[in-house]
Amino acid sequence: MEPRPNATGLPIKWSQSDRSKLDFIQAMISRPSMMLRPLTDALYERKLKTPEDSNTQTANDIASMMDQETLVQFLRFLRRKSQDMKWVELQEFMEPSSDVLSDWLNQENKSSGDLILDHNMIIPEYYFTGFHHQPGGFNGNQLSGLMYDVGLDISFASGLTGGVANLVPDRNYKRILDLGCGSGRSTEPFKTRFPDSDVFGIDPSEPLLKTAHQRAKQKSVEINYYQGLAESTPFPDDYFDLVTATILFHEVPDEAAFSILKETKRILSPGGILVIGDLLPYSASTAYDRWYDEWQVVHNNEPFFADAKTRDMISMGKEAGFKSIEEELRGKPSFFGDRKRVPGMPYIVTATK
Amino acid sequence: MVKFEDKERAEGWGVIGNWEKYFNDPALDRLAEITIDLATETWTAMDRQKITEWILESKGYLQPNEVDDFQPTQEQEALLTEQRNQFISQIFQGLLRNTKESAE
Repeated sequence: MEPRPNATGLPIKWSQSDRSKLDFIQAMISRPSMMLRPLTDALYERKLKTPEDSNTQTANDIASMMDQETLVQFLRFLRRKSQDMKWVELQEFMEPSSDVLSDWLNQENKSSGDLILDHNMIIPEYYFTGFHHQPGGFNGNQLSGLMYDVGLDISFASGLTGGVANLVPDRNYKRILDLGCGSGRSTEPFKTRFPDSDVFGIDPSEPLLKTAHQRAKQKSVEINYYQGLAESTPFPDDYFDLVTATILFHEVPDEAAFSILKETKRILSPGGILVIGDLLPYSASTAYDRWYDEWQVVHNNEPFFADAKTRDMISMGKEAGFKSIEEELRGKPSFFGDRKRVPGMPYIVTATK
Repeated sequence: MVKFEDKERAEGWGVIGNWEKYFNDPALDRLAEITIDLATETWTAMDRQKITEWILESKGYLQPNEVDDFQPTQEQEALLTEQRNQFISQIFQGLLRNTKESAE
């Protein structure tokens, strides 16, 4: 059974109309893909002249073969339609109660950690892309963070992986920083696994951070949330012994990715590690999966997807000054496909200062 | 059609709400949207009917807003989920038929 789309613990109730619509949208996000993906795979295999062709084709070759097929068009339409429906319905659910939700978001909970906002920060242009077609993006209005967070439970009905918290080495970390922490989903598990560590999160979005702060209260964890950029943090040199990033790097262009690596190297203590969890690079994927994942780029507003999947993280990390950097390929080729996912992230990069 | 050159950005990047067309005939996009919107409303009505039946079976009468405010138990949610999944499988049968022909 899919989990209830209320893991954030909102202070408002779902009406029958809201609940049933979001239940339907949640099912629409998962079930048609489950039904149609195997048929798409079978169609591709039937269209190949020889099985060996799949080894030599490019994603463009496959696009020529498949893009005009009714099946593919329906699958793409259904995925985009259900994504748009999700945002529309979440807006309709939350906006009538915006005063109640705003009061809730603005509560200060000292026992849950600090919430340090920076109203003077300059947010880079790329951040206003409007990722995943969320109206207004992550920063559009005071409810954007809640919309994103509740949207996660709808889009990932089988549960979120908890980021890299269960994959980092077992050490006594004094201070941990989660870059691009969003609403705290990837940050909270660090406090569970390392209760004696001081845990921090940083993100440019005030609405997301306010959501994270309220979630910390509900989960009875103490996490310090800072508004800021991963490429230019307010922290001193050598401050953290563990810095992490979960599905952040595919949301930034190459220039920002490099800046983030350099900044992380500055704020890590000697011997400290950066652990990145993200999507598999194209070098580890088949051309077919690259073609299939194209949906994210064009239809789900993921403009830096291809940047990230063709990025040479090893070279970039060395140039940023890390003593060593390694990558681990853990998952099946298509993270967003309907194949069985590995627990945790499919691609891990570990860099040591 | 998206062209895959390394680092080349696909047309439509960064444009919020860039709904081009998914089918060869743009009228089909509109028709498909109407169909899915109808299916959503149909499910909402089915859910509402089920809740109404449950309340009437247990008490024999309805209070104002009782259906709107109803919060299903875990067991009831499981029943609704099963019914919803059957509904979706049913409405997509036609698509599966067509796509099996396409796959052949």
